[in-house]
Amino acid sequence: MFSKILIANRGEIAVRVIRTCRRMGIKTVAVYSEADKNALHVKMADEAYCIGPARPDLSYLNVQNILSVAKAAGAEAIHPGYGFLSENPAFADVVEKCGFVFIGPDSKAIERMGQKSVARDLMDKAGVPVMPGSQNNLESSAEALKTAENIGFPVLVKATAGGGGKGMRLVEKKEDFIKLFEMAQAEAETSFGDNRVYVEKYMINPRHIEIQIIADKFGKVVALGERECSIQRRHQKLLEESPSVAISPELRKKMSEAAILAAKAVDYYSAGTIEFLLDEAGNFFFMEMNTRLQVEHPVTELISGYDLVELQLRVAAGEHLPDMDEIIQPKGWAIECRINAEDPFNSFVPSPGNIEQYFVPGGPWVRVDSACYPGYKITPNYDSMIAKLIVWANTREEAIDRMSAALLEFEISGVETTIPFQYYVMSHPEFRSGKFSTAFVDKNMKAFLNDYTEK
Amino acid sequence: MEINSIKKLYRVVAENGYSEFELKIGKNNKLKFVLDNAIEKSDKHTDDNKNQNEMNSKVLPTDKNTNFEVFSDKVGVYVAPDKTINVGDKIKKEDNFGFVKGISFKDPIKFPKNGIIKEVCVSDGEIVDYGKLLCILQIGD
Repeated sequence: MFSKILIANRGEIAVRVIRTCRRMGIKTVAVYSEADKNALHVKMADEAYCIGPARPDLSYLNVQNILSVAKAAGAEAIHPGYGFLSENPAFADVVEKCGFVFIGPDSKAIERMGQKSVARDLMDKAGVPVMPGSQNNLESSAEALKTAENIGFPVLVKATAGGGGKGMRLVEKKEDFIKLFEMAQAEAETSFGDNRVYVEKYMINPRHIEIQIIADKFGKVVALGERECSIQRRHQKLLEESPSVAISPELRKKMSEAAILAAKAVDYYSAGTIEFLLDEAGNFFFMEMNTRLQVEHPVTELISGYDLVELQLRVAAGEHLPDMDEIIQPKGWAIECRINAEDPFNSFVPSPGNIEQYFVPGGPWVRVDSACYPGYKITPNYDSMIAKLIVWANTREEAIDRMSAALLEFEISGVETTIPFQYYVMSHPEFRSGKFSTAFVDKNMKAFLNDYTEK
Repeated sequence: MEINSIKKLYRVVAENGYSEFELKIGKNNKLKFVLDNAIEKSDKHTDDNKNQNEMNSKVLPTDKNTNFEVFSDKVGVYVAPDKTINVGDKIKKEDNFGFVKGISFKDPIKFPKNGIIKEVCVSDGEIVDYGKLLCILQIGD
């Protein structure tokens, strides 16, 4: 096992990794930008070094400075967290070439799964169900239109290098296709420096279900259950739960087997997530694979009993996965709310500022993953996450009640937070019944605003 | 854009040390805001037009002979020069103050001004991060 690792990230995920390292007796090296000099991960790590000014490209994306610290501090491995360099194949490659262990998958797996249309094609060949779509990237709008007509409208035009909803356009009618196709290409170029796009069938009101996998370097792949992530706004998740009400044991087995097949198709090792879209008839289709630890990994930890960061560290150190079933069955129910510094009454506009009061909820099976504290300044330089609030209970209903109580107990002042909206979701009959889709937020936003205005 | 959103935007811009910003309205119109009494940004380092060998410096007008604090904009291990630099030494602009060794580089450090060494704040083999104080020079009379 490693004696010292560097965490190439910030915020709550850096704190998360440090916590497991402390438990395992692994020394930690934090890196930070000038804007993060008072950050919690800096205070918690055994060593911390400033790597640049606030701008991400000069600090958290500054590969040279990160690796220089790793070498100077004697780190043996680098954990990339999520975001930043975590899915950058060139970073994974240069980390290994410089003599460190990358705590994640092989750079080739990252590269193959990072190009959406390539990943789609790979999965199709491996026998994983994929959405009907173009076989390759499409360059001309005429060629793309023909493909769209063959698939049948509505379709999505998606950026090959994309994510987070960028470079994506929904086309409902043939007459709108060319204009929207060209807009998607332009946005893909601006956002990712790569204007390649492909076309995929658009599923109306699907559920977003993802399967967590962990794999070792000896070919063993384990599926740790699904996460329901349909409560999203503009493709950004607001809350997640595990398991999903829409998944029967039989469907869980099928989707888990598909996820394991997907991981094996790219010789995957470490933690990863395969995202699917699920229709009302129970048909599921591969959407993409995230080759990193995800924000919502805690819900899986609570229903499986496994520390995913620990498993990542062990796999990276060359250990076999422990004795685990190939498909883990969930125990109980977990829900996570992402508490962001955003104003839900004003289109979720970011609300950076100084946190004044910060009183976290507690009690049985209430977990808070956060890097905030009273007096901490949330800057506009990075994401607006304040905390992840996660609860576990024996049943879904109990988990919802526990989350509702915890949200009420969570006191944060100085910035706006998403808590009012998440509390609204917990009490909404559609959410409580489990009969919802990715259309939930758009459908209920107006009612939420009216509800609070009346109060 | 609502007035409250503009106020929030104003506050964020001011807190980050900028003095003006522009809002694009519609296709062709722009609205420029110039902030009164923008908070001075205490950023020791600007990365524009910086010679990679030039150290950053900060003037501390605390006494008649002005002091310069010099900081590193490199990350790595400090390697002291062959000729040891001591407190009291007179140095010239562009004189060698050793170098910073990173993962794939070895950048020499040059003094930005003539002066006298008031304090050496880094030792051979020490890890140097961004913003690390390297030395204090006394300049002026």
